[in-house]
Amino acid sequence: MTAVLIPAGGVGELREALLCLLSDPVEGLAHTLTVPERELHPEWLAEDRREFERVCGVLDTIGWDAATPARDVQLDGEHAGLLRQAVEEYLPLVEGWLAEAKPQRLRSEHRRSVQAMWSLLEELPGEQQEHVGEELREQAPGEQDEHGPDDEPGV
Amino acid sequence: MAPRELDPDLVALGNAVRRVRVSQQRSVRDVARAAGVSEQRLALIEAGRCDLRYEQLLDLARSLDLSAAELWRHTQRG
Repeated sequence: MTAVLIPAGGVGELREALLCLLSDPVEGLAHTLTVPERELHPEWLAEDRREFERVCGVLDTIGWDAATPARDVQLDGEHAGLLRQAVEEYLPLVEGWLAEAKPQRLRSEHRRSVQAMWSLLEELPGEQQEHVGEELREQAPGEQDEHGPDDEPGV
Repeated sequence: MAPRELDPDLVALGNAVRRVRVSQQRSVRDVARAAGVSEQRLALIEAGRCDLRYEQLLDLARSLDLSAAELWRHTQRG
């Protein structure tokens, strides 16, 4: 299977997306541990265990620490679906922050994140989403928002 | 990994948290810090994608200057 190249600029967003995705198997495991007779059915844990390990494995490869300088990362193509899912599920959260953010500094930060994720999605094999972030569609070409006021509450 | 089905109760809780936070004109960052969770975690909570532990629910309510009971009442207001 073709390897997937994650450009350095998208590694930070991918890390956050994977950390969010990690909460699904963790919560699944926590729930299963509350169910009667779970000790008789270790297979109930199997899928969440597998997904937990899988997401952790990708995080091991790209690096867990956001403070580490980002570099391009090459991942096995078998992870493409997982990466796409992580980004597709995380993207709406950041788009929500972007829609809500008032200070221009934060708007720029969130917009960069959203753009990085859309770029990642374009690179990843799989079906493309039709949806395009409202904020990005509204942004006129060449719009500059790096030096706006930073005195309003926001995300 | 298939996306999990959303629990309507968690969605109602998430909506309530977001409604209260916005009504207080507070950012995700601000409330997340006050509750001792990451911004991503709070965003997942608001999206109804997290099943909170009781202690975390108490911390979240406190971060919004509410009791857990008051936060619960907000979930009932739809």
